[in-house]
Amino acid sequence: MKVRLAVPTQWQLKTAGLVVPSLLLCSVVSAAGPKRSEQHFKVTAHPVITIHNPNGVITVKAWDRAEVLVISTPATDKVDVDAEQMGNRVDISTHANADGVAPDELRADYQINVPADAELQIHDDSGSVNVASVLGDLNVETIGAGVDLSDTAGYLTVKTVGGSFQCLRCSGQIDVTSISGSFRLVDMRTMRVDAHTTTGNILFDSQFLPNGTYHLKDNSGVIEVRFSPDDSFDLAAQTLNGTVHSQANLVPKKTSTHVFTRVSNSLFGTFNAGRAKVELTSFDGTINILKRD
Amino acid sequence: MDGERSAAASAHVKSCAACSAILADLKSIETEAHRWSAPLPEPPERVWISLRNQLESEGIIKTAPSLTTPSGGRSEGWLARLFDFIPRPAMAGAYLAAMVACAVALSVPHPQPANPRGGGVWFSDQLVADLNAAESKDLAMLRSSHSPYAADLNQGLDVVDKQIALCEKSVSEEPDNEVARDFLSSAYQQKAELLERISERGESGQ
Repeated sequence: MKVRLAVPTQWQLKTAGLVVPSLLLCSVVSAAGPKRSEQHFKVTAHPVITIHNPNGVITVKAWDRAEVLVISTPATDKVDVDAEQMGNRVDISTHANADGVAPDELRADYQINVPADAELQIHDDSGSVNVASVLGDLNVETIGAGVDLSDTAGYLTVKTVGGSFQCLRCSGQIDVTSISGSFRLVDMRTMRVDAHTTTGNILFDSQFLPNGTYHLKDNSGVIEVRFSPDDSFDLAAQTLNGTVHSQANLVPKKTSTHVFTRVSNSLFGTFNAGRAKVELTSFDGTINILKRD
Repeated sequence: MDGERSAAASAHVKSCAACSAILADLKSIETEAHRWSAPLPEPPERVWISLRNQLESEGIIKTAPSLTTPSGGRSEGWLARLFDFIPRPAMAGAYLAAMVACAVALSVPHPQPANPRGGGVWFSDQLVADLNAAESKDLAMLRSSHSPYAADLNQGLDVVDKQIALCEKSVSEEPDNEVARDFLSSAYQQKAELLERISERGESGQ
């Protein structure tokens, strides 16, 4: 077999002469930009992790190590990330390291790994918050940032102004409020849900657990609840100026003084044995109680 | 601990090891409590007197006559005056206190007050005007901000204000409607929390 040696032509040499210095220049430029940093903190059981970030993407995932890994990427070199440990607590924050930093420059992205039993307290005004498989209590406050949780447990407290909230396969207890954010609560196994948004929509597509209480409140958005034939709940759905649509064959309570109608401003009744308590309240929005496909 | 102790009690404490030990413990607790509270600035008494008197005089749920200054002119809003000399974190707390007081008043069933205007008004014009005056300071700061979240906060306030107006209308029309009152209560709480957030961000310089 012949082996042909590649001999660079004059054109190739010229090209290489331009490209290589350019690549080197790019490397220098990127090295002078914001640096991605990685920090490790050894922790014991039930550590507390607090994160204060004005703007950026925060991704937290559980892992099986007894340590917290913080990978941070500030948006510019005018922004610093502080991560420090105080006992079993790790505090992470983003701040400007110079005067005159524009608000939209005050941004950092985080990838954080924590033990599954960690407790999280997250403040992220803009951007997004994603948390997966963390079983400890979780408190999230945002303004415009959306919050996506999956496979979490513990007591979840979420407050947003305009950010949406999604919870997939969450258990434990959920307390979520927003002004214009919409909520999606899907495949959950939680005994207690308190959800209130003013103009967003609420979707609850999960099983109603026996003895669970589910309070969904919406001023002007749509509340949509999906149920399966095996569910068992006691329903109180009221809207002041909107409409209630129901596909559930409810049995009116004998002691109830409420009017039982299928499409009206209010609907009260029991589905199967009425083991869970479901309260849906709206000011002038629509309430849909639909069969799950 | 404070106040005069009878001679018999003092004598007993001196002779009783158990009681003197308890007294020593109480004194150390008192000392520690003072030490803890020392860094916290005590708000002027007039703040609380003014707040309480105003809430009582406003009645929150009844229409009060417009306040006038001794010279006969309309007084500056009490919240606005309050906020002039209260640090911002305390100001946020004052917002919250006032708003939550309104919300609590709404959430507790009570007889409908006599209303000369016949509209079933739950908050006096004065209180609402004062809250708005206090709010305008933070709004000015917010609207001059270039923060990514400023638009969200502005929009949130607009939404909540509209909801308050709608809910107040409903409560006026149906004062005994618990659902309407509950929504109005929630709207005021949301507004308090929003203003608190804005104040906090003003304080932190974000």
